[in-house]
Amino acid sequence: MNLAWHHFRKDLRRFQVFLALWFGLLLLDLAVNLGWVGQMEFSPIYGFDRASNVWTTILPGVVWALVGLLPSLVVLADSPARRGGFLATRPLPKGDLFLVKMFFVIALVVAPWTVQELVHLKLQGMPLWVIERGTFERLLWALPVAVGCGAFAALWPGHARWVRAIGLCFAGYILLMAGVSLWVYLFHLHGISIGPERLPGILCVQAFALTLMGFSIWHARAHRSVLARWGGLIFVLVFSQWLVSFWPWETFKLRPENPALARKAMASSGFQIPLRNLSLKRETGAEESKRPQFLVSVDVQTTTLPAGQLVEWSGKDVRLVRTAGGELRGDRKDFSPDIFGGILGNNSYTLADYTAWSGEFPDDVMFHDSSYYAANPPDNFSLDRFYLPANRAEFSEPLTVQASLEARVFQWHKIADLPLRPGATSADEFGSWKFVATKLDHPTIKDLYVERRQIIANCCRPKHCASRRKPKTRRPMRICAGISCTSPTATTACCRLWNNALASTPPGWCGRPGRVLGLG
Amino acid sequence: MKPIIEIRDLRKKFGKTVAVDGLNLTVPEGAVTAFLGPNGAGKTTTIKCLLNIHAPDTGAVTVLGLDSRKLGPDAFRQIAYVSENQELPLWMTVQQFMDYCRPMYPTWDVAFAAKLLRQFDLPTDARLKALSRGMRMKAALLGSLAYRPKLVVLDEPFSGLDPLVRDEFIRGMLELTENEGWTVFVSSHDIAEVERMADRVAILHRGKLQLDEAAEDLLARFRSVEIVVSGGTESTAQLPEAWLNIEMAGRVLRFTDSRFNEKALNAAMTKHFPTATTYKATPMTLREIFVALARTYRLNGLAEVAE
Repeated sequence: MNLAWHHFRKDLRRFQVFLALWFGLLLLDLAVNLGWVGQMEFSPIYGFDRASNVWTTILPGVVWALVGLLPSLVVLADSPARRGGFLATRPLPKGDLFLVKMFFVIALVVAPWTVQELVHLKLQGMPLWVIERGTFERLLWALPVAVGCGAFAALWPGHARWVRAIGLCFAGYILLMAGVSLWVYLFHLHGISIGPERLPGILCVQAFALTLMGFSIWHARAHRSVLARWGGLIFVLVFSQWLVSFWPWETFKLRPENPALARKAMASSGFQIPLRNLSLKRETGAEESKRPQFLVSVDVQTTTLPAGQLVEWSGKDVRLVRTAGGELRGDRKDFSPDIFGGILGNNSYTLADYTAWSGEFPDDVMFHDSSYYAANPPDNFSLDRFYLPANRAEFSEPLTVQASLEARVFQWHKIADLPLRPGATSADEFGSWKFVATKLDHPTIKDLYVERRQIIANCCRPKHCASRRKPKTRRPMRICAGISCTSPTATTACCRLWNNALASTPPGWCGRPGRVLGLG
Repeated sequence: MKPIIEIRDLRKKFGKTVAVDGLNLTVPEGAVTAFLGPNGAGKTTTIKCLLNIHAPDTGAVTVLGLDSRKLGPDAFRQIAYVSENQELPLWMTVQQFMDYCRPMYPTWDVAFAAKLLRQFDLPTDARLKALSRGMRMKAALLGSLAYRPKLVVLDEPFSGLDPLVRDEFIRGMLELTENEGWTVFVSSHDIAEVERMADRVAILHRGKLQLDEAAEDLLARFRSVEIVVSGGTESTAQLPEAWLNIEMAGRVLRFTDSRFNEKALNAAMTKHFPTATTYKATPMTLREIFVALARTYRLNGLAEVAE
């Protein structure tokens, strides 16, 4: 045991720079998660400056990379697969070496990362059960990743072979997944689910682990006693993978007291609304609160509507009611279902912006986020969010979700053709518009929001430019026609859509409401 | 003498390449055994099998009375292994390296380590990666000798060492083998250096042991012979098998007599070279013997291939 400690200290000295980097990054990540650093800057004209905050997005990836890299380097330093290694003919028991490496990985990689999550949740004022679950889930991720990476590294005599093996594993993974996709495509196996409610990401991790394991075992055949010596690590890898795959990730599921009654009430609306869960999600956007929150979301039936029609769902007066009395009210600050039916997400507009705009709209017109107007309408939406109470008692008893759901059906009409090329001009009752610049190569909704802001910033119209100084009076209505297109091809499709719609539209609006269905 | 290493019918293949082919060898305790052979003869593979770095395909290897496959920490506390290709923790300084090695060996002799450090003239604060190849070898020797091992296995130990250090190293090894009873098993191409310390010589060729005997006997039975023949060119056919590398240049016949005996040589000369006027039999160095044998083995190997 003394020799094990001696080697542990040697490894400490050997990896002191890496460890300093690791602990520094953990502290930085904690600070970002707590909102102490990395907050985005806001300016009335340009909104949130995301570019200067890119590092907060990259940081978790770097931390993850180190969780795998550090154990690998520690094991490779004295790899048991290296025949000519310094320790090959030294009087160090193999068991001691195993203990040293395991202790290093667990004490200096897994434990600090797990403790970081514990500290984070504690400083957020989370109740104890949330801290326990959150910490355990972090451990559930960290342990197999760190130990698995170490076990894999133990199969290779040096860094070069190790890197090559990782490359081969990735290639194997891609081939495996491509094969599975082909299999599913050819034999129409879309409905097959493997295991209880596994997330797609978990399935990918498992497929990768499977590839890695297969490759490792194949390699170990040719090398004396590698499998035996490191079988324990591989066992941990397999076992933890199994544990991860069966861990009920929807930990915070909220179940109705009377599911049958709830289901009946939902079904009476005419729309099929299955019961939905309550999920714990930590917001990552810097403009959002960093506190972990419950997001209550609702699944709705995906209905195929006639062209130009759209159903918008919104929830009102959402509450979590305790059986013993009392309720949790949501934070409605970022949700504005009355005037906005889409995902607000990382949009740079504030509720005040929309409120200001809505004030200028006719009563029967609802501003709509046009990026929502897609071939596949979303099949779920968020009702509200709830900050977790510090008082554990509030979550230690059953809660009932109470909400009024509202569905509005809109018919979209053509206003005018709006060419989406730089320099194009258009005119409406507000005057003439000119597109100075636009980017249409970003496919995701999130990016489109960014583009939307940029388009507004680049649109030169005297009235609009003047209104920049007063953000509440901005009117970006016509822009919504443009940002639903993500590429030149999509622009064509978009324009076709507009052309197919009715011609008689109140000027200035992208859509107008048809019938309104009130639920609950 | 009790054998400290016993190799019985050792075979080791790498793919289709046979590295060691039925090797039988015994290394007595307290002796310095030189393990010689041309490149690719299987010396390093044999040594790695001795130290459980490679597992033999077949055969048995016993080191310090233990099956080499079961060598554990207790055995390695008595074994020193230094190889020219051995990896060292290059990020350490010499002092850190010594501090790192010391706790692994209860018999670590601090005074002896200090003596070796002075003798090798190693800078304690320099990182191993900053040292030259020779200096690294010295550091490796220091880390392997300071615990006074029972068995020292050296694979090309003189590689990169300057002549002065070589000389000091050999003196030191001789002193230690005499005073402490160390057993040294050394593989090297520097046969001239090995000759000074070797008690026994084993020569390996293509994985097979060709020769294994006391260095004294070996040196005694080999002679370089030069004969001046007076009457024309004599036939070299049907000459004794013990005469190796026979060369005829003009009237001078040169060969290596591998079983030198003055009477026998005179008789053979009378029989095969009746016109010979003079002859000269010169003692050979170990290096010359090795070269003569290696040349013979190569010719025999070519003949085997031709057959």
